[in-house]
Amino acid sequence: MTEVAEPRWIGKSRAMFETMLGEVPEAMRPVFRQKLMSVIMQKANSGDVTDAHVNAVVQEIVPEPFKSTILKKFKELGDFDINIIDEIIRKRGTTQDGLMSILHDIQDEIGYLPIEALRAVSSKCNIPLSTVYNIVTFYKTFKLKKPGQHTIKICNGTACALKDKAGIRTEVENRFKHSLAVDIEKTLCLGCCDCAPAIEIDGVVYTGDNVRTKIETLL
Amino acid sequence: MKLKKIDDLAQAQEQGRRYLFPETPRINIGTSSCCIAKGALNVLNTLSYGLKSRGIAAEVVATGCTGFCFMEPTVEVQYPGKPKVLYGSITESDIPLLIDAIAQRDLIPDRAILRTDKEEHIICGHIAYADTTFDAAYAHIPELSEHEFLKNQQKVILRNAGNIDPENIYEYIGRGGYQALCKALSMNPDVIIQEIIASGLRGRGGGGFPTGLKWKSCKEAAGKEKYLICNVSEGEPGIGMHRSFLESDPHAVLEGLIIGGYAIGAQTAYVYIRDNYRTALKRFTKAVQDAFELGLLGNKILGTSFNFNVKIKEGGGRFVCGEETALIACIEGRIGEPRQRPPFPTVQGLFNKPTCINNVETWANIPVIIMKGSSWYSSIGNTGSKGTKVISLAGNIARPGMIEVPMGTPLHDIIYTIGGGIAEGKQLKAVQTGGPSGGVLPSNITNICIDYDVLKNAGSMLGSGGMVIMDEDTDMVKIAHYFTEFFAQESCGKCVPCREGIVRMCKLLDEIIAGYGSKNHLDALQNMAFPIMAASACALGKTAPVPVISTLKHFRKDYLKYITT
Repeated sequence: MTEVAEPRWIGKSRAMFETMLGEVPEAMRPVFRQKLMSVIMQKANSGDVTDAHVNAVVQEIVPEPFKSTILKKFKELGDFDINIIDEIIRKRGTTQDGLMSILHDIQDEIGYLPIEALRAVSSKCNIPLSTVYNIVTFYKTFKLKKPGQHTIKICNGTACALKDKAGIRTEVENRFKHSLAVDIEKTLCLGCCDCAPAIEIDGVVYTGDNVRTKIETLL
Repeated sequence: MKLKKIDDLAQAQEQGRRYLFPETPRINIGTSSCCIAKGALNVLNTLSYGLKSRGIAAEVVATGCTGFCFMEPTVEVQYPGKPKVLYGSITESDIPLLIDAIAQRDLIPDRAILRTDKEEHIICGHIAYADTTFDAAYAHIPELSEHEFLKNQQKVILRNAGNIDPENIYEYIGRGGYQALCKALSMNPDVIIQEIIASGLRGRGGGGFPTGLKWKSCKEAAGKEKYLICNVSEGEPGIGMHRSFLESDPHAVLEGLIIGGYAIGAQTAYVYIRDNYRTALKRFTKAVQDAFELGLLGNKILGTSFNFNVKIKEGGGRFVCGEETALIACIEGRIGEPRQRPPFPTVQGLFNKPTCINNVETWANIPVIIMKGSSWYSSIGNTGSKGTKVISLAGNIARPGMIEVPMGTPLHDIIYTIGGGIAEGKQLKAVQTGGPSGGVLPSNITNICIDYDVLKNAGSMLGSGGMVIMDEDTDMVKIAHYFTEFFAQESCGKCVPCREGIVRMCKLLDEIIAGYGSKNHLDALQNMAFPIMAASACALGKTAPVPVISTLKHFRKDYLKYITT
């Protein structure tokens, strides 16, 4: 049997394909790998393979109960590009001392830490999920929920609490407390004590009237 | 360029000088986080664009923090052969004026704050900006040393802050950078440690442990594999100078680390930078990359047999991670819970190997001590505390900023001369030093100075050098509540007295502020403090009740105002 050349995988398609193969008994995997790949490539007209192509193949040719299992596992891959995680782990290594860096990198890429990503990190680094979860919930910087469009961090440092006579911190907090588009949090001292009261909006620290001007542009 | 031997540094220095003294005007714009918060990046972009579109040749350089945080954004203009002139509080509307002035190589006389004719740099000595013929046009601008804000300061650590582009390694080398490393590499490691011991340098992170002794103990510990850690886990409310410093002069810290690695015999240093310090992280990462490329890090540094590597770790936003054993846990990828000491990290630290942890400011002291010698260093300061201290001056003060003073400087001078007194002409009520773990000192501070032991005896601490000034309107009960709440949130939860006790104290303060307080509340607060301090494992728990105790001691009146029965 001739080897089928690897197609170009787009998005999560590669991870989906591997998940699909994972359901095949190990002994038969090499044969199935070739067969399924050529089916998928036919579906994609020998072009780039996308998530939709793999999904369609599963829907059409895989029998039950494998089909439901695979589709369920597809959901666990999450709605982000799982390849990012592979790449980050390759860069940072699989030892536990790299775990914080891995989590930071994932959060930088995806914006938060979806549970699917934690699961992937746990299995790829061989660190128990409970340990990963322990870390993520201990350190305040990690977020388990998808953040809103904007993030406002209100400095809760001494100087900011002391100098905020006009009450801009409470004003901002109350204004966005119920907003879905804006995440608001009080944080450790931002280290900009001379500009107290300091408020960080989308990664940039603002102070005094600059806060008000910036906030108007958010709405 | 790669520096293959010690003599190659001179070449890099020459290149650095070309950057520092270009033939065109050089414009330094402070771009630390504090400056950016006040719009420095807008000023930078508008100015560069304006100059370019008008075809005016000038070097616009993004430097670090000058310390003049009270009048940021600052712009410093330097024409070849003329004094360097600092302009403060520059906004975008001032840019056209500035561009006109630069085009004519002229001044904006009424906006100029101070001029620098010459500078006595701690490492590279005399730096002259102005030609010998003095330009009368500059006469009305006060000279650097005449300004009240700078008069009592001594720039040792902050020698380059605000003067160099922190992302350009050549500018650091141009101002005498990495000379100390060259000198150290030709010294015997034991002699270096002796020098550090003789200098009297004490840890700048708060504990004040003699740095040289820590190094010695780490060097003598069993095992070949050793680690260094640079602690930049600044999480205390009211303290921001380590961030500004790292953003302004990252190479000074890096040089100290490399020298430390050589002296102690460590191969790897971890630099732990807390989360949210993205600019500092970015600039330090760049500094490490540049040092690798230049051959100042990696294998066979400057042609010697010494190999050294630096890794950067970003923290996770927990205050407790500033504690050394918690910090080690965090680097190892565990949750930041402190553990019992001994064994101390110098014997059993990171990955159970001997580890020397020092604060970022301590590391930055090392190159200066090596270059200038321990006797010079120990001549600064007073009996128990040597050298200078970087202080972040904040709160209700007229001139907040990042300052550096010799140890032994009276608090009075810092507040009233450097800081320009209390903001809005109010009266001083209290000074808080050393972050939340430090106490609150009453306004009667005439005999207190910046010194580890003096502050400790006064019931506070030097800590890592934060100083928050509180004016007469400050309610000390709310301040105590604020700190206690902070500790309650930041307790890691390992020791029961800290986890539960602080929450209870916070609750008592809640009740007092809500008007339900009684004398019993005050007694209970006082009684709870001792067991919490005695039975907690780490410094967080041991110092958490300090704000309450010190406010109860000095400001009982404020508490009694809330108490009706």
